[in-house]
Amino acid sequence: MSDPNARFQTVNVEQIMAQIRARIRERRGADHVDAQIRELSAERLAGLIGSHDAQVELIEKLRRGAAAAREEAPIDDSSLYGRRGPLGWVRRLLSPILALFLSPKAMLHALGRQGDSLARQEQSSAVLFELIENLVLETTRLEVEVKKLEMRVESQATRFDFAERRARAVEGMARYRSEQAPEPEGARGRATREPAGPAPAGAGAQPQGGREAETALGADARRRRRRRRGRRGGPARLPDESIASGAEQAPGGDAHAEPGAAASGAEPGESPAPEPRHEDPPTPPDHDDQ
Amino acid sequence: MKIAFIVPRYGTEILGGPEYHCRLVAERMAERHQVDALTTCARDATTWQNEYPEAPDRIRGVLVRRFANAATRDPEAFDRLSARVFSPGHTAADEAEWLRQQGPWCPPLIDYLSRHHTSYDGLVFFGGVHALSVVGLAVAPSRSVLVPAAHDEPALGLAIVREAFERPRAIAYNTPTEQRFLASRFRIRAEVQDVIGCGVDLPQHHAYPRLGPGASDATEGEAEQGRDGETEDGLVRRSPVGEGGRRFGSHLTSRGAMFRRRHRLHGPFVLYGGRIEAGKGCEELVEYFSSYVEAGGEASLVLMGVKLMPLPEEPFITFAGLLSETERGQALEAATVVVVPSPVETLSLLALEAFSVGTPVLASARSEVLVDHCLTGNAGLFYADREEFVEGLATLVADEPLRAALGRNGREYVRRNYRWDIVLSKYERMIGELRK
Repeated sequence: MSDPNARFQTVNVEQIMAQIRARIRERRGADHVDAQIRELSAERLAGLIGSHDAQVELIEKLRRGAAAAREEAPIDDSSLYGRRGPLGWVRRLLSPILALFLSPKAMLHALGRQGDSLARQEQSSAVLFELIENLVLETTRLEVEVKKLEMRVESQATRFDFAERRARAVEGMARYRSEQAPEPEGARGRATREPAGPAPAGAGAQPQGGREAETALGADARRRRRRRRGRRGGPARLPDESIASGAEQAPGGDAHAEPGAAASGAEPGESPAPEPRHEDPPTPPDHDDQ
Repeated sequence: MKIAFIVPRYGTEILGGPEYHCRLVAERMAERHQVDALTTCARDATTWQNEYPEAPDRIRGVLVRRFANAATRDPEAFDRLSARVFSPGHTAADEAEWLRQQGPWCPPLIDYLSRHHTSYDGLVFFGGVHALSVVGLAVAPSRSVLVPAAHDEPALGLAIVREAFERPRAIAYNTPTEQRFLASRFRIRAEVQDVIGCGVDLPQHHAYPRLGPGASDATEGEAEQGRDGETEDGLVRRSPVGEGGRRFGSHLTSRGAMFRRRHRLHGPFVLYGGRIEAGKGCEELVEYFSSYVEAGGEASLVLMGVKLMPLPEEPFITFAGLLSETERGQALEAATVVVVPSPVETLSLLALEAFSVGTPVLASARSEVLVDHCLTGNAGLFYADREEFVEGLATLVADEPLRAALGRNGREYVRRNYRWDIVLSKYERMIGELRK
């Protein structure tokens, strides 16, 4: 706003209000929906009232009711004697004789009151009609809104189901891995913690140097796997990775015991956690997994 | 000139309505003419109970003559009667009884008028739908001025009221909207008609230079304007200088700083002033404002005036109480936006006072008068529903240049139409016409 005075000259409340209303409509996405709702409510109202010709005319009359009532001419002398002219003059001349039979003033007064009362009734009917019309419109709008909300609820329920199934799948995978984990853990534990001890029965054929080589190879493979997971997991997994890499560089070369200790806050001398891959939570499966 | 102002209640305690309007005009007219206020001893408009003593009194230069009411109102009986009178089929006697119960029913005042009307150059009746005006206008229609302060209400359909509106020789409308409305409802026969309204003081707009840069409760625009120099509305603002040439801190010199400090208000706030009741749209205001806050709005709501309904205990709502006129002015000046939620207004002094200090208004679109003020003056926005309120308020709070532009337009609107000298000269001209 480089020149505030220019802004002052151009400020226009009507324009601003139009912009505000446009923004609201845009937010609601109701520009065309509004017209549709009006159409729908008109149909519904017609259905409620019926399709009889007289009733359709009545609706039109009610719509114009208030305006028509105001347009009506007031009741005065001319209503009784007609417009000014020879005949009207004669009627007025003879009015004293007429007054012997009936009271024109009382008649005019009564007619006036009736007219007023009719006009008021028409106005109130018009107001009532407008009220009903607006009620039907609002009901229709609410119905559309309720349908929209129902659809949103359905959509949310679907999402919730999906998320629940996904959570179950992740839990299942974690359980599967934890079931799978102890065997290699035992092997690895023996390989790392008892490097100088006697060879176990199953591994007796392998020389000591071969076992070390296998451990080194296994560690490499795990590192590669972690790197892959790190890449898949994105930046959010970096802290875990740093813990893992820190663990890999820890003295003693026990790649599992140290990360577990780092993650759980255990001292380095303590026994490793039973969940060997606890520090590295499983990557949530892709949608295809389910 | 000797002028009588006839009004149901009169006193400095009575704020709002035709009574307040009458007092403001009478006090100003009293500086130039001999002014009497003829009123009742009532203070409460729902019961018309005699509370003030029945004796002449002088209030701010105006001689106030009070007369005791002969009847009080039973609200329940009055409601029943109103229901009957406002439906078709009632009689003239019903209307007369309704008028008596509507009140204030004060035969001594009417007697006084009948005996002394010739000693006055003009009789100015405030409000058209009460017994004082309806009966009093019949005493001396040729020297009577009616300030109708009318809005669309069922009582205007009564024959007794219709006749009263057709009697006076002069009518002073508050707004062109009111004039159009009454012309559509009645056969106005007044020879002298004019839109006069009520005057509003235009305070000097350099007393409170806005906040300097870096102040905590300044908006961006306010901060920009804190430096000396010409602002966007062409007014030169200077920071006040204390002893030894020391400039006061921004917390002392900001616009409406005293009000903000007293009520611990930080950041933008929306102000309402007047009777705090549901009929004035306050319930709806609180509800809409809660929606604004839920939508992420950062402003708070401050209400000043008489509290006639409970207010929710929310951190964003502050009740400032009944303020003096000086404080009221400070509050209007301090406000970011003034909100006028009343659906029924005949003039809205709150809106005009806000315009006069350059604060933009957010008004209810249900009041035609308020919409007319906003559109004619290009000085405020209006709302018809909750969404428009939220969006309009968010726009005003966020857009400081828009507020400044609307504020300047508002001041210009008041300067053109509602300056005291214009209002008083119109009254003088009108009463002068009656003397011819």
